[in-house]
Amino acid sequence: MKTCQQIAELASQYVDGELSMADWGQVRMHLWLCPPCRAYADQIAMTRQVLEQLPAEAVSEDVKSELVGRFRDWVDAGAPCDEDPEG
Amino acid sequence: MPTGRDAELVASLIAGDEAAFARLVEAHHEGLLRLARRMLPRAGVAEEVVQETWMAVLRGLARFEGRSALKTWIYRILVNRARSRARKEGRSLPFSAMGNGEDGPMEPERFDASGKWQEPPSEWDASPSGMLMRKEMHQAILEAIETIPPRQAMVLRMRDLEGMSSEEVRNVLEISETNQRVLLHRARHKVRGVLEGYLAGGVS
Repeated sequence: MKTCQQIAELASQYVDGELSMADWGQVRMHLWLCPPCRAYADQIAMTRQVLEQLPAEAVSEDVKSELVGRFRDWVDAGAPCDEDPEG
Repeated sequence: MPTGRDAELVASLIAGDEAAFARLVEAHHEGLLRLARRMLPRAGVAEEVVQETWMAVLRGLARFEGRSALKTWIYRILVNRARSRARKEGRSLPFSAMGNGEDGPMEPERFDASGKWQEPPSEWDASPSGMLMRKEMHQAILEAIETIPPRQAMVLRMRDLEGMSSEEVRNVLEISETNQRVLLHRARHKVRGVLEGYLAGGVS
């Protein structure tokens, strides 16, 4: 049997659907019997949802126009594109 | 060969479509920058590396094979460049060592010796959409992400803000599955704590 602490540790994998069948069954059963763990798992799910729906952080106009300027230079140079970007 | 929307986007970039590039920058620049700052906290360095990353992305476009999403490819380029920059700066890297004291047990004081809740989570009477209506909540969440340890914040950003899969994140950061999992849950747990503070603290 897993403890509440162990169940809480698995909450993210549970809400992401990433648990093995065996663990999933155990977590499911525990949540059914344990309101605090159920609240915790629900809150982790809500936290994920809130994070996923946060609006994209905005780039400043200055930075954007500087980058677009560099893009233009690159295009003017014939758009060379066969370097190794990780090199 | 890349297919679908990423392939179209790559073709537009190579054809010199400024608007397509501007949209790409709008979608990802800030996220890349905030991630890079966690690896390179010295003022201005992350900004430089993200700028270089954009140019490296353009000059490397022909190497994009579409095995991952374009976004994931861009993040990977950023992380690799940030890593080598950090090495040059003589900084100890957040990802160079696996155990670095970030991953202790999660709020053990909330549980008793037998692992039962001692301080159970408080009830929330708000929905995610309700929370998202509140601008001050956005700010609080983004600030909270800045205060959690770098590796946790990086994984959280990529998984939940950028919507990457666990496999993509492991690939970008070159970390194990277990690591990815623990870092993500620790991070979510902390953001959950911030939300709890708000919902229980009666800021209405």
